Amino acid sequence: MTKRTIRQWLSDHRPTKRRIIQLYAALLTNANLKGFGSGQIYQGNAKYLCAPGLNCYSCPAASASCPLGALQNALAGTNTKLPYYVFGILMLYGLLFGRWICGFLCPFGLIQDLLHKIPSPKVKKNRFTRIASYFKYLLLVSMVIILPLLYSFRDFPLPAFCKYICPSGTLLGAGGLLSNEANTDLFGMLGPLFTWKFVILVVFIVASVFIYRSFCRFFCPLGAIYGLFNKISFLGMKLDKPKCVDCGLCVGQCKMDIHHVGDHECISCGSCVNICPTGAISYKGPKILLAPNETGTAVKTKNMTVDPCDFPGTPLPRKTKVARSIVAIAMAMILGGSLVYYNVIDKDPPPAEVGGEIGNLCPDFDLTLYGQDGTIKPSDTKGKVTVVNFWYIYCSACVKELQTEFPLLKQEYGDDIEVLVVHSNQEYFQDIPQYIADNFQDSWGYTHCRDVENEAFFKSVGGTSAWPVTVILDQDGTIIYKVIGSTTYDEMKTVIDAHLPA
Amino acid sequence: MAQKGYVMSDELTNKLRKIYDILFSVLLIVTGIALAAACIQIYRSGDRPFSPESISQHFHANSLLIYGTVIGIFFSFLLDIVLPRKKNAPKAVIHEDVRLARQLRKGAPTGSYAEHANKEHKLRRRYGLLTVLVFILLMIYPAVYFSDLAHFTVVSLNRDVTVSLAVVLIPGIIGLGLCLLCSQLWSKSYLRELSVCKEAIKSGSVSTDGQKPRRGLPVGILRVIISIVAIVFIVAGIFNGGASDVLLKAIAICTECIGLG
Repeated sequence: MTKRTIRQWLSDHRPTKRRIIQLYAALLTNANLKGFGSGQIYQGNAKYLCAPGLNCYSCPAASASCPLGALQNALAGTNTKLPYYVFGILMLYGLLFGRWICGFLCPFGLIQDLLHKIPSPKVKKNRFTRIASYFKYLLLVSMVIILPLLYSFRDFPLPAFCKYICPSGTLLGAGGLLSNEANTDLFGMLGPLFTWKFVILVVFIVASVFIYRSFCRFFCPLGAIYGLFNKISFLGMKLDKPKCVDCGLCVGQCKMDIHHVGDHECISCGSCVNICPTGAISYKGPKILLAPNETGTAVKTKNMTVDPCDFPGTPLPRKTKVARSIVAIAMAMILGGSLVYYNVIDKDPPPAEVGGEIGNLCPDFDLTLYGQDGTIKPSDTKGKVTVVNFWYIYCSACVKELQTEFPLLKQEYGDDIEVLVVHSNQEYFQDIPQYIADNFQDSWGYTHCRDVENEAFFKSVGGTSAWPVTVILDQDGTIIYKVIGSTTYDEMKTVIDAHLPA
Repeated sequence: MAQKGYVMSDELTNKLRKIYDILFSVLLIVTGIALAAACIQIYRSGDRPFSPESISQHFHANSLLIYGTVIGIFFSFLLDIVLPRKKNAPKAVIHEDVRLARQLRKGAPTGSYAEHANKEHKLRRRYGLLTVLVFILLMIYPAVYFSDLAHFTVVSLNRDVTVSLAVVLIPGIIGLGLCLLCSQLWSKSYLRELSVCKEAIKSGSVSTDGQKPRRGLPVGILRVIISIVAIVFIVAGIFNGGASDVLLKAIAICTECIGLG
C-alpha cells in the first residue's frame, strides 16, 4: 500500500457537497442533541413544523415533526377535522423540493447512502426492481391513507405505516431512547411489535449494503408523495429534450429506477450530469449558485466521477463564488443558532419530584372531573383498591387497553375497586368529554378526570412522555403496582387479588 | 496488465476480490439473521422479557459475529484501497425500441403500415378498457366490505382481522393479476406496432404531415395553483387546530412508532 494509493483513495472518496448537505440536514433535523443525554424527547414549539425528510419525532434529538407520522395522525383524526395543515406542508415541500429532499435532506437516506458505501457486491437495478419501485405507492395508499382513515371512524388512532413498518422509528426513536439508562422502564414495553420492527430494521440495514437505497426505492411512502411533484418542483433535475439523443447513458449511470432523468424516481443526486455527452441534463434551481458544468455544459471526461458537485470542470464565476459563500455562511448561522437554541437556551422543565414508587404513598393532586363538576383526589378513594390509568387521546395502545382490558375489572370486582382514568392535561382542540362519551361505556365504571398543569401527577409517578402508565393503590393509598406501557387484565388481577380480602 | 502502484495482476485481483466479497456477504447476512433470531428468542423467553440484562446477554452470545462484521467492514475498506474494483463505464440501457418510439413522435407511418399500426393501437385500447372494467367490477365487493365498519369490531390489526382483510382483497388481487396480464399483452402489441414502424422507416413511408407537437406540462400554472392551495391549507390548518394536533402528537413519545406498546 503506497502513500499515493491512500491519497488517491481519499481523493476519490472525499465528502462531496451533496454529502455535506446531507450531514448538515441530518444535524439540523436532529439539533436537540441534549436529548441523547437526558433521554427525553424535545417538547418545544418547534415541533409545530415538519422536517422535510423521514425523521421519527420520537428520536430524542428530533427538533421537528416527521411529515409521514404527522400525515397518518392527521388522517386518523379526519372524523373530527380535515388534515389541511399537513396536506399543505407536504404540498409546499413537494413543490419547492420534490425528491431533491430524498437526495439531499433525508437523514434516513443518508444512513442508507453510508451503508451502501461499504465495499461489497452490489445488486444492480433491473426490470424487477423497476416494477418493485411501485410497491411504495401501494404502501402509501393502503397503510398511510386508507388504514388510518378507516380507523379514524372508529375513533381509534392507527398510524399503520409508523406502527408496522417504519425502520426510522425503530432505529432513531427506540435506539435513541432505550440507549439511555433513564429510560430503563421502557424496556417493559418491548414485546411482539418491537420484535417485528427490529427484524424489519435488520433486513433494511443488511439490504442497504447490497442494494442502493433499498428502503427509498421500494418502501418509502414519503418518497412516493414527493415523487409526484418532481416534474414541477423548483429544485431537481431537468432534461433539455432538443439536446437529448436518447443514448441512455444517464439511465445507465443512475442507481435509482428511473425511466428518464427527472421522473418520479429521480432523487436529483446529479450523477447523470457529467455523463451526458450533449449537456442535456442540468440542475433546476437558482442559476447563480450553479457551476457551469451543473447547468448543462458538456464536459468530456475519462474519470467517471459520479458526483458532479465537485467535478473540477470550468472554474466558478466570481458571482457564483460570492453567492455560494453567502449561502454557506447563512446555513452555518442557522445550524449554529439551532444548536444553541435547542441545547442551551431551550431548557427542559425541571424534573418533577418523583415520589410515586412502589411502597410509597401515592402523591395527591386535585384532578378535574370530566362529565361532572368538581374534582377528585386519589386519597378520596381510600378504603378501596384503586387502579389509576394515565392515557392520552392520540395513544392507540392506551385506547386499546381501556376498551379491552380495563372493562373486565369492574365486571370482576364491582364496587370493591375504583378505576381512575386520568387524561393528559394537554387538550387544545380536542373535545375529550365527547370522545369519552362516544368511546367508553358507563358500565365500565371509569371515573374520568384530567391531570393537573404540566402533567404533574403523571410525572410524580415517574411518567416521562410515554403513555400509558398504570398504577394500582391499595386501600391505604400505597402504590403496590406500577407499569409504564400496556398492561393486561391478568396482570392487574394478580395484584388486586393479593390485596382484597378473600 | 498491472495498474501502477499495485503488485498483482488484474485477474488475480478480481479473483481475490470475488472470494472476499462472497465471504463478507455471507458474514453480513449471517450476522443479520443472528441478531434477528436473538431478538425473537428474547421475546419468546417469557413475560416482559426485554431488559438491558437480557439484551446484553444475547449481545455477548453473538459478539463474535458482531465484531467479525465490524472487522470485515474495516477490511473491506482496506481492500478497496489496496485492490480497487475495476470501474466499468456506464452502459446505455434505453431499449432500441424505446429510442425508436421517441423518434416516431416526429413522424408517423403512412399507407398499409399506418393501417397495421392503427390496428394495434385499437387493440391496446380495447385491452385497457376491458381490464379497467373488470378491475372495477372485482373491487366492488372489497369496497362494500370496507365501507361497512361493523366488520371492524376489534381495534387492533390482530391475526383474525388481518386474515379476513386478506380474504376480502382476493378479488382485488385477481384484478391486479389481470392488469399484469394486460400489460404483457399491451407490450407485445406495442412491439408489433414498433416493428411495423421500423419497416415503414426502412421503406421511407413516414410522413410528418398532421403531426401536432406534444404539449408539455403547464408547469408555471401548476406551480402557482399548488402554492396557493398549499398556503391556504396551511393557514386553514392552523385555524382549525391541525397544527396544534401535529405538536400534540410530536411532543409525546409515539410508543407504537418505535415498537413499544
